[in-house]
Amino acid sequence: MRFISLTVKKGLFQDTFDFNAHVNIVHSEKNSVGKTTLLRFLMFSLGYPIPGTRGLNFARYEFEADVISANHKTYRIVRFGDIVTLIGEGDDLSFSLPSDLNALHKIIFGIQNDEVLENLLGAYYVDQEKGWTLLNRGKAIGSIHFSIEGLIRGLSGRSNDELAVRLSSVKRELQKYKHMLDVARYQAEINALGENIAYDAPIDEIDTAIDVLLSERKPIFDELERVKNVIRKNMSFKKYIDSFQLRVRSLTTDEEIPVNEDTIIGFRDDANYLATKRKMVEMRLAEIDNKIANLRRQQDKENTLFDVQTSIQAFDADVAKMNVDAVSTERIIRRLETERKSLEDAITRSVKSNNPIIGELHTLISAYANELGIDERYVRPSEDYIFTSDLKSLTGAIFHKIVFAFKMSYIKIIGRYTGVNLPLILDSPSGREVDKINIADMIAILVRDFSEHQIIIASINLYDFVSPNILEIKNQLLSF
Amino acid sequence: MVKSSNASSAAFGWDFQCNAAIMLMLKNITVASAVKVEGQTEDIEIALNSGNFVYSQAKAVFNPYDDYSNVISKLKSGLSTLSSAARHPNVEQLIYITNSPNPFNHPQTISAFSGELTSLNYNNLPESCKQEIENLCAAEKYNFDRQLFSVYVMQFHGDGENRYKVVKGLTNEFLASVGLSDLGLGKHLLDLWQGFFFANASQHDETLKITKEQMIWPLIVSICDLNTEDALLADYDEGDIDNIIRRYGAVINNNSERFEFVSKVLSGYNSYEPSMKSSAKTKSFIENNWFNYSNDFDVSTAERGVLEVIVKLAISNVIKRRDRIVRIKAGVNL
Repeated sequence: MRFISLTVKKGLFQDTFDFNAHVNIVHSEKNSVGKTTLLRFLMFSLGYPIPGTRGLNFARYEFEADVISANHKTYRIVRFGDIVTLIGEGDDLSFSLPSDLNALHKIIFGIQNDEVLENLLGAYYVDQEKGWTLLNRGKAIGSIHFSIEGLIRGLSGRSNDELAVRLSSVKRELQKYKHMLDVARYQAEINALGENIAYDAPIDEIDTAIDVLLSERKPIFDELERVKNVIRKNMSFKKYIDSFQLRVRSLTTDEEIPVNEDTIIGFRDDANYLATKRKMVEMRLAEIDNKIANLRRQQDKENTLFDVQTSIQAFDADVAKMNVDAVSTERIIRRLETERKSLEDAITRSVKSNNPIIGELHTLISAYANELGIDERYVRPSEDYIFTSDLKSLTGAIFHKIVFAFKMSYIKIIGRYTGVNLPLILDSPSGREVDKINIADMIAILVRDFSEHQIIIASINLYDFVSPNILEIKNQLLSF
Repeated sequence: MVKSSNASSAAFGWDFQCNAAIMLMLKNITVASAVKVEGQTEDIEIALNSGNFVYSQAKAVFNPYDDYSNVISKLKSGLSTLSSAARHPNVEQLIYITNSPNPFNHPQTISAFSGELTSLNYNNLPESCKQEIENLCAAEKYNFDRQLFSVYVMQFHGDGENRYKVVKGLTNEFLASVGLSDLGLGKHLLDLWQGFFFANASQHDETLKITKEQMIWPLIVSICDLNTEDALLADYDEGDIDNIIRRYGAVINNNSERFEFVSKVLSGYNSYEPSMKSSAKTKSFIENNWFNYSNDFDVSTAERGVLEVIVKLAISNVIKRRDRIVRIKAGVNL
């Protein structure tokens, strides 16, 4: 795979950079004119999440990279923001980043294994900041990771074995439990501050209290209806008697007496009795209704209170209600951490066991290191050495050269196992304390072993290449 | 009832005024017809059957045993209002009522006012108290007939039961006077009465008027509830009666409150064995006549034995109510 050209557009303006199939040197006499930016433009145009340089927001530019894919097809990759369009050879495909990144790279690099694709950039691109300290695992640039285990797992077709699947599920679980623990800590915090009290609405208790009152209300209401009914009947009885206009005569005084509510013995008393009874029942009913109304008002208030809560208060209220056991969550996390560690060890072991790639990689690395004057004190003869995590003993020029040896070996082994000749994109290979002779050794390797690869180097040096394509940057990278 | 637990002096003062009104009504129950309570002026006005009035000024002190600082200013303000009230026609009494045991702020007179409820007319007041009244009246030009004037001191402090001790005692005395002391109705009745005052006045500056009928009828209703302790049904198991009341209470009440039924029962009762004494007569009347009234009951599901109890309870309820209404009306001169 190689670049033909890169066009950077903004509005009406555009600049195009052409690359030949072999050696390209992005050169300037001075530093800080845009060499690194051009290399990052190239990576960005391939869809990678590359950070901008010096306040340059890549998302504001449109990039058109003409490339020859690993399958020798010519494509134009157009990237604007997070949308990439791939044009050429009858294809016109659209990709949305970051989710479609691997799909895009499968076409460009012709590699189908996701783990290889995910670890590709760390092999062929050496950023001036992170790249020269990245040996076998860590960040290549921005948030793009590299892991030698992942690369080897991918290359040897062991990506989907049981251990890897289990590891990824343990990692997901671990993440969830860590979030849970955060919730528990948050809970503890809001409890300690007493901030949950106002929002811990006892709505259920109010509901229950209302239910109890409603069941008390029922017989009282029935009694009221009954009393009202008796009063109605007595009134119609009175009207019935009235309608006869009866008169009676006293046997003792001969007095004539009309028969009505005033003269019927006991009628007024009974009417008073019932009127009072009705009033008393009404009072009891009113008392209960009052209590119910108060509770309903309280309910409404708590509902509105809830409405006007800020989202953080609502969140606090929800969190406070959650039943999270911090102690057992911590215990689970410890257990999962242990499991993760042992799975990772097991994966490393399984990657290592009976895997010819390791031996081949070690041989390559040892040979290049040897060629660069690094002895066995640093690059140990054991095959396991390639998984080393002991970087502290490596300093300055030695570290730089070992990184170079590793990277070249990665590209070689990837080429061997996938048939893909990756470009080599090296930012400032002569940085740090690498002296002229060392540089010459590195260049010799590139010329000898990587003639089939496109090489793009950004540097203030021109090096000893035969007719390289020099992209000279005067004062600034872009003309607009 | 809705008793305010608000300790603010306004709520406390209103509580005192209402309970003083109940107390004055009970003291005058046979001659009174209504009571008016004016929150704003702290007036209690009792209308008497004769057409005369008892005017009272109620002044409460929140800490009656510790705080005498305002008693004189309260007395002065009370006298001022009573002096105006005295200009009304038909004044029978002018009462200054307080809960302070030291209403004149003369410590040596405290013992004269130390009872639960002390009432002293002008002539019986300690000399120093009379002098205080004379001084205040002379200074402020208050004018009223001293022979109509008396000072009441009613214990009223603390919370709950303790606060209402005096009115509760008076309520029980009243119940005893109408032959109902054994029913334990004192608290219930007081709650009802206090409920009238508080339920009717959420704002303390309102004017309340409660007639004697309004005070007495709830008592009658309360004592006429169906209950298992009815001696007339002593032959039955109390638990059975209880069950029947629970299940058929509405049916029994419907009949015993319907005037047609009431009238029929009372007519029959009045013409039954005029020579018998009332309790024996009631028992005998129910036993021998209950079946005549059973057609008024539509209790198709009830067994015959249950129907008998239902009818007997209804009849006894009618007679009991009549008896109590007559007795209490006579007792309070309603």
